[in-house]
Formats: sequence, structure tokens, C-alpha cells
Amino acid sequence: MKKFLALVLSFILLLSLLASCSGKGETPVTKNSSSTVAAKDGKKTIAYITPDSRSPFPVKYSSAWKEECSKRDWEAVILDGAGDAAKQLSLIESLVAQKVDMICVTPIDSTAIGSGLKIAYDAGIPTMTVNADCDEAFHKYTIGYIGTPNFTFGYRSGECMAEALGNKPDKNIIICSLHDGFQASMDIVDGFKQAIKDKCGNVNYLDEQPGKSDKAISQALMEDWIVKYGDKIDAVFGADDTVAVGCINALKANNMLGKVIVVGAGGDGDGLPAIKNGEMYGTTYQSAAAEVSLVFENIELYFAGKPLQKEEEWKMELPIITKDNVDGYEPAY
Amino acid sequence: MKKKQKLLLWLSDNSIFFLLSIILVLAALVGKSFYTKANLMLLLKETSLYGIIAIGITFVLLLGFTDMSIGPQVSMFSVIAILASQRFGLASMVLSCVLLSIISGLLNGLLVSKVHVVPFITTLGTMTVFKGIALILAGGKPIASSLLTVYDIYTYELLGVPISIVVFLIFLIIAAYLLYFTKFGLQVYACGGNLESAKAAGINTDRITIICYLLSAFCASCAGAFYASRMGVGSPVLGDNYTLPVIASCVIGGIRSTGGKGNFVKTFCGVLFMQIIYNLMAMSGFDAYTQYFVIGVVILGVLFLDKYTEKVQKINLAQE
Repeated sequence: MKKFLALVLSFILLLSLLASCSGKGETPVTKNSSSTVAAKDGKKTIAYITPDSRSPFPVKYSSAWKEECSKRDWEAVILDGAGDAAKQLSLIESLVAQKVDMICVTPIDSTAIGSGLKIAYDAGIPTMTVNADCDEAFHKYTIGYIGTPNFTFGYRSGECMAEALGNKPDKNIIICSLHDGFQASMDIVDGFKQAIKDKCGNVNYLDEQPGKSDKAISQALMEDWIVKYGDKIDAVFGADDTVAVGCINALKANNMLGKVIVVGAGGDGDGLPAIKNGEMYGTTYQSAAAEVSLVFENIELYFAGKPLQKEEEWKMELPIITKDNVDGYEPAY
Repeated sequence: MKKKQKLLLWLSDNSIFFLLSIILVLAALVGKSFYTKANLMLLLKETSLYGIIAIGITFVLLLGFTDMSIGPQVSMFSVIAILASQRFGLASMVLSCVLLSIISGLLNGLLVSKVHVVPFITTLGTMTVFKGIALILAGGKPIASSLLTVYDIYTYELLGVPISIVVFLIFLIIAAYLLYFTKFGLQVYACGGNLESAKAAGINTDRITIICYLLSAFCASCAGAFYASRMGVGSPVLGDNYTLPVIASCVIGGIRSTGGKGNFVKTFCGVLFMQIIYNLMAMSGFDAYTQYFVIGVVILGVLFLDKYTEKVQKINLAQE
């Protein structure tokens, strides 16, 4: 009975302590309002929340982030969302508690991030979505979006695939995407499918599964698909070069490489050699460093009280890499 | 019993309190913004969500069983909550999850108690079933709610206290009452201590097992509904990474994996300890890989201490 009473009294004490902790937010942030730019003395702290550091692109993105901060003598705080949308919300709240100067985030889910952006907005901390955007309904809580338009990125790979297929319809295509429920992955696949529809017309998507940016997982998936669909497969799209190369390994093991066209996305250290060797038809080049540089140009504009660049002003190319031009590129990441 | 062994046993029984004290001191030294109002409130909100799940699974662990399906259940209920809210309104979010949790709890409970498959394997199977249901209902991707009021449940405050914390504390008190002051609680400990002896003593072990799995599912359903309200999204992959950290929190808190030992105060402390570690690691910028490593080392350390003191206890009993 004593233990139970102690528990109840502790509960009442804790509730009263918590009730005293609650409080209202500070002045909300407005877009490009110089009066809200916190003209603090000393280093600015620019935080970035990655979607998942288990993928190579976010890792490269984070390195580029640190370099850009270092150039400007700013402090970089990089936190890992670890593929968990709820965790990204917690990290935003944590950064709000740390009173950083700006929070940038690549949302895992474009809607789930919304409540986190609102919390930062109510606390007076500017936020920017990078590399993947939030849902339009939450744009009012951010200062803007800067990043590779993932739909366009996927579209470019779709154009590459269409070229490889001779723009012919009725082909059988398999898609090896990235992570379940990852917004950027969904946008890339949607862009790819749109390009195929525009250039080839009707095609058959035999299957679509997440390769999770992992060569072993995508290789195992491809082996299952080979067993299931065999010679029906005309082409495979890997939503990043790592999963594309995983699929290539499976096709090689089953002597199907010459018969199946493979296209990737990213232009990373796996993809470019595969193109050079003739194993992969092509990919779309996405430079993490170039994108981060653009992000920081716009962060500087914000702190200077100027409007952010419009999408048409972004100098960010998404070139298609094939055997014809692969020698002119270094791996993007 | 020698003094050293007595000290070791006492340390093992109360290790979580020491660990918690150490980490709170460490937080003051390392976490520059740890002891701010905003961060402490965030910590308690995170603890409450994990804690709700941990309360449910504690009943199962006390039996000496496990529930590997707890994470996918949270995912499934988050999807159900959003679908229900869109069809039947906000009020149906929690109610629908709670009602459907009876099915998932019964499934696990009946399979373990009647079919007698090892709980770890059984719940691995049901884990896949629940994940599949979540993916089918959501169409393979997160579903966003069209209701602007969907956030109202999570953001509601009772006398200035976030509702998730209030619900967690109420659940904690009710669970503690069930365990300490009811026949059911005694029977749970008896089954966890030795299932066959409990059966021989006339306890309906099948009924106790089913009730514990029902409680686990009920808590998962509440947590799923809260997460759905927090994010405005039902995600079929939300809970993928929750099962092991929640079980680890209970084990660190002193719930013995073989059953029959532990209580809710320690579960609470275990969850709080894990959340403080996650909070500190996040604030220090640790990536996901390093976080896994650190949590793994902590769990192994606690398990080693627990097993070592269990061995010492057995030796002492044999000598006496």
C-alpha cells in the first residue's frame, strides 16, 4: 500500500511540475522578414536533419553541409532521422530547445513533418526543406524549399530508359525503389513513370519493391524477380545506382545482362563504372555538393533579408550519363 | 552470503536507479541544452509514447514470454486510426484502434497459449501478418489525414500537461495497481516464475497469457493512435524500429527475460533511461549506426550483470 501511495503522490507532484513547464511560443517567423532575422553576435548554428544516414546520398550531403558551414565559420549540427518520420519530429523539437539559428530538413514523409515545422515556426526558428519538400499545406511554416526536384530527377532517368527502349510501348519494366514510405523515393519513381508514359506510352510494370539503397537486398529481390518473370523482363529501373548495381549482379549471375536494360539514378561510385563497363545503360547525375552549395547560397540570402531564389534561378543540372559521356564525370558520391 | 555478493545482488536489483543517476549527471556535463524546459518536456513526451507501449509489453515479459509484433502493431493501428478518422471522424481514432486491438491481442494470446508455439516464433509470425495488414490498408505508403483537426488529440493539454504524458501516467498507475493489488498480478508473477508450477497450483495460465497479450495490444493501439495524431499520418513502417528498443527498455529496467521479476516503476525508469540516451546522442549528433552500437552495449552490460547475479543467487541457494 505504501508503494502504491508513493506512486500516486509522485504522479501528482510530476503533474504539477509539468503544468508549470508549459508555455506559449515566441514570435513566429515570417518569410524573408529582416526583422525576424536573429542578428546574433557570434557563430550561426545551422542544423540539418537527414532522412537516413544508411543511404550514401545523405552521407555525402552531410559532408558537404559541414564543408559549407566551415567555409562561413558557422556551426553545423547534423542529426540523423534514421528513416523514422516520428524521430524527425523529435529532432526538430530538440533543435528548437537548443535554439539553433536555422533548421533544414529532408523530410522522410512530406505530411508527417508538418507538425514539426509548425513547432519551429511558433518558436521563432526559421526552417527550410531541402532535397525533398514538405506538403504544400505546410509551406507557410517554412522559408522555402531548395533541392533537386526529385520528380524531375526521376523523370530524367525515365527519359534515359525510354531512349534505351527505343520509345516503344508494351515493354515489361521492373522498378527497384528505395525505402518504404520515403517521400523522395516516391517522387523519383513517379517522375520515372511519367517520363515513360510521355515517351513510350503504355508499358507493363511487372513489379516494384524497395531495395533500401542496399546492394544485397536489391540483388536478392532481382533474383526473385528473375525466378518469377524470367525472360519477360525487358528493363529494370533502380531508384539509385546502388540498387541498380545490385540488380545488375543478379542479372549477371543468371546470364541475363545483355538482354535486360538497366537504368539507375545518382551517378555514384557504383553507377559510373557500371556504365563504363556496358552493364548499365545510363543514369541521372545528382551532385550532393552542388545542391548543398545552392542551399547555403539561399541561407545567406535569407539572413541578409533578401528573397530566396526561384526554382528557375537554380543552377542545378541533372544530366543524363551514358557510355557516350561517362568519362567526363566524377562520381557524385 | 558474502558481503561482495550481497552488494552485487543489491546492485543488480537496483541497477536502473544507478544508471539513471549516472546518465542524469552525464547529461548535465555533456548536454548543453539538456536541462532546459523545452528539452525536458520533449523528453517526457517521448518517454510517454514509448512508455505506453512498454507498459503493455511488461505484462508479457513478466510471464517470461515476448511479443515481437509490438512494433508492427503500432504501425497497423496508426494506419487504422487515420482511416477511421477520415471515415467516422476524430472521435473514432482511438476507439477503433482499441476495439481492433482485441483481435490482435487475442490472436497472439491464443496462438501462444493454445497452440503452444514458442512466443518468440509465434510473434515473429504475427509481426509479419500485422505489417502486411498495415501495408495493404495503407496501399504501401503513408496515408495522410484530410482532417485538419487530426493533430488535436496529441496536442491537447490537461491543466497544461500534454495528454500523452497524462495518459501514460494513468496507465502506469492502473498497471501498477493490477500487478500489486489484484489476484491477477499475483498470478502473472506466479506464471512468470514457473509456468508448470502455476498450472499445478490451479492457475488458469492460458487465461492469464491471453489477458497479458490483450493488454499489450491495447497499449500498442493507444500508442499507434497517438503517433497518428502527432504526425497526421498513418505509416505502415512507423513501428518497424520500436520493438527492440521497447523490450530493451524493459530489460534495462530490470524485467527479467525469463519472467517472474520486475515492476512498473523499473519499467518507467528503463524507458526514461533509454530516452535520455537517445536524447543525448541526438543532441551530440550521433548517427544511427553509432546509436545502435551504444544501445547494444548498454543492453549487453545490463544483461550480463543480470545473468551474473542470477548465477550468484543460485550458488548461494545451493550452499544454504
